[in-house]
Amino acid sequence: MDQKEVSGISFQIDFSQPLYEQILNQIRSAIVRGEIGLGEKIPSVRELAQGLHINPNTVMRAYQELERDGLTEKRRGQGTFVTSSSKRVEAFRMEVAKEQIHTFIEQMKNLGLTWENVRAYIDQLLDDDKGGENP
Amino acid sequence: MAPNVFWKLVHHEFHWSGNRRKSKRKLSGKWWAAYIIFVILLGFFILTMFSGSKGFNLQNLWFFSLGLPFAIFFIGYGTVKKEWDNETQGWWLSLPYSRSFITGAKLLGSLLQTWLVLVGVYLLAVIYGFYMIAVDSHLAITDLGAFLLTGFAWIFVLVIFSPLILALGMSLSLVVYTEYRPVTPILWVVYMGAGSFFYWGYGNIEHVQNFYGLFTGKVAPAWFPFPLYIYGLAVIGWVFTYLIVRYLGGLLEKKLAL
Amino acid sequence: MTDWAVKGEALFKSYGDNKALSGLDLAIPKNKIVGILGPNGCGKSTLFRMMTGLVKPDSGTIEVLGKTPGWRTNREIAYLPDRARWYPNHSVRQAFQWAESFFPGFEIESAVKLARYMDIDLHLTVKGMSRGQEARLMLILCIARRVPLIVLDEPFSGIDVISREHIIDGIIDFIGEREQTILISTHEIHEIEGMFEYVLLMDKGKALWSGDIEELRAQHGSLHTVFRSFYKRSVITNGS
Repeated sequence: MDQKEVSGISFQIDFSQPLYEQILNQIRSAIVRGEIGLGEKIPSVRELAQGLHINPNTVMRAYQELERDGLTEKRRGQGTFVTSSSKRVEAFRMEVAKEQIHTFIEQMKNLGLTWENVRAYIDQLLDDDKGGENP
Repeated sequence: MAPNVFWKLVHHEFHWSGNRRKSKRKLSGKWWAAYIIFVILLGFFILTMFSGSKGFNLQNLWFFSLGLPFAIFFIGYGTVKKEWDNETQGWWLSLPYSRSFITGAKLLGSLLQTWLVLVGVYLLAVIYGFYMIAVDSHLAITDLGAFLLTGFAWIFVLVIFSPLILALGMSLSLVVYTEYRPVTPILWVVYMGAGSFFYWGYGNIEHVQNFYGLFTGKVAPAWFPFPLYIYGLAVIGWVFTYLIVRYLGGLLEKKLAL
Repeated sequence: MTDWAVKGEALFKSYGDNKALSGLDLAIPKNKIVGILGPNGCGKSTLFRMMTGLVKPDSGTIEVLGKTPGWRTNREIAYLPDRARWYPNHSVRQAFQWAESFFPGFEIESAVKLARYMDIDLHLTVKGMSRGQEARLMLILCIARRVPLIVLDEPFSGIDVISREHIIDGIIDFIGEREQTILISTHEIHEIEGMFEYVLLMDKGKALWSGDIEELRAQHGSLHTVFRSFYKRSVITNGS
């Protein structure tokens, strides 16, 4: 696992997993978490490739996917920027969250747990959390 | 291929120097220059010693240059070997030109170097010659004339035979890097034997003309004191040079053993 | 056939008792950065020499850019020989002029740019350079060429880490814009792992695995892991 920082964005590159997905997902979460602000410039394909020592074609594929997501936009002559629309980021965040929840539910089902088990546990966690907030 | 590229390659061969394999043992350029200057000055010193001694014939000086054919042979030998010594053989062999093109350029480059050396030797001899008649009262201009004529004939012969000598030298170093490597010791024997023949045997067969005769002053010097067939031999030598260069190119093409 | 940068079938080559290649098959796609990987002695250099016509196979066929290798096809190939050095009396500028005269497709402006980028003074002579600088120079002589195939045999061997990073950055800088196939052979994969798109893993003169590197990662993990499990011996040096 290699930790690297490029133009303020930190990356954890694991060479035992396909790189394209890692770059894509890590930029996505950086945007969604607000690590890179709306309308902010992200490093160029070349900059990121050199910063991470990764093939620029791999980076380019990830960037193309990000544009398809609607998370980034290319401005001619200036580079690639995060979208300025918070709605789009929000929409994407929701999509990712939904996907992860669906995955989670699948996993719970595979473990043989019922909705009741899961909900009960979540409620308990919520109580503990609130309890911690009470003065 | 554009002839322009060929002459650029010749120029490169003519110029490049350096020898990594020997560099640790070799002296730096500055030391070499110092030694060469020292030897030249020593030459003047020795000549001064000789001056005035009876039986000293200016022509004898040419004996010092007897090693020139061997030197030429090793220039040819070195021109291929230095690629391997410097570990640049990969670049040389992967040049996108025909194999005869690259061996031909090496031959021509070393030929130009050789001629430069020969001219340099002759000029040095001229200087020494003038110095001697200035210093030695026994010697006269006629002696200088004989000296220079003798030298001219000698250098001239070397000039016209140097392509062949260089090609033979090249063949000896190149064959080591081919599938014919096992033949190398035989080639050494053949070439060194032929060289010896040139020095000893030729004179013995051709009682009349012999460079020993010239150098010792037994034979009167002339502009071209050799029989006509020498020219014929030289021309045959050039033809052989061309054939050898092409053959070596063929070896590189088909029989290279890296 | 012309869709492959290099195609080889059943390649055999022996040097006396030493079997350099024992039935190697390969099909390397165009326009990718390709890693030819394996421990020392697995036949990588022999394969590269076959691609440039310096060595002929004992049996089997090989085609480079759709043609039989030889000095003619070398017009379109930039080849960095293994354990190569440069002419010691050259300055960097002279080396560039030499390349301009003899290497088709050499772009001297690109070379000068790369030299600046890689921190090589144009006036430096090869004799006075470190091995790392010399390696960078020779790399520039290869990649500053507009040719369809670049073949780099162990460009990192004996090179310090900083020079390696410069070299990788230089490659990234230059290949982005071009349709070029780059073959890199190495037995040290640490810094370069992220660069490859396609890999050919060799051992004892044969191909062990070849294909898209992301697939290799998905199936077997990192190159580091692959080396350990495929070759059952530790051949990785983690930089220097």
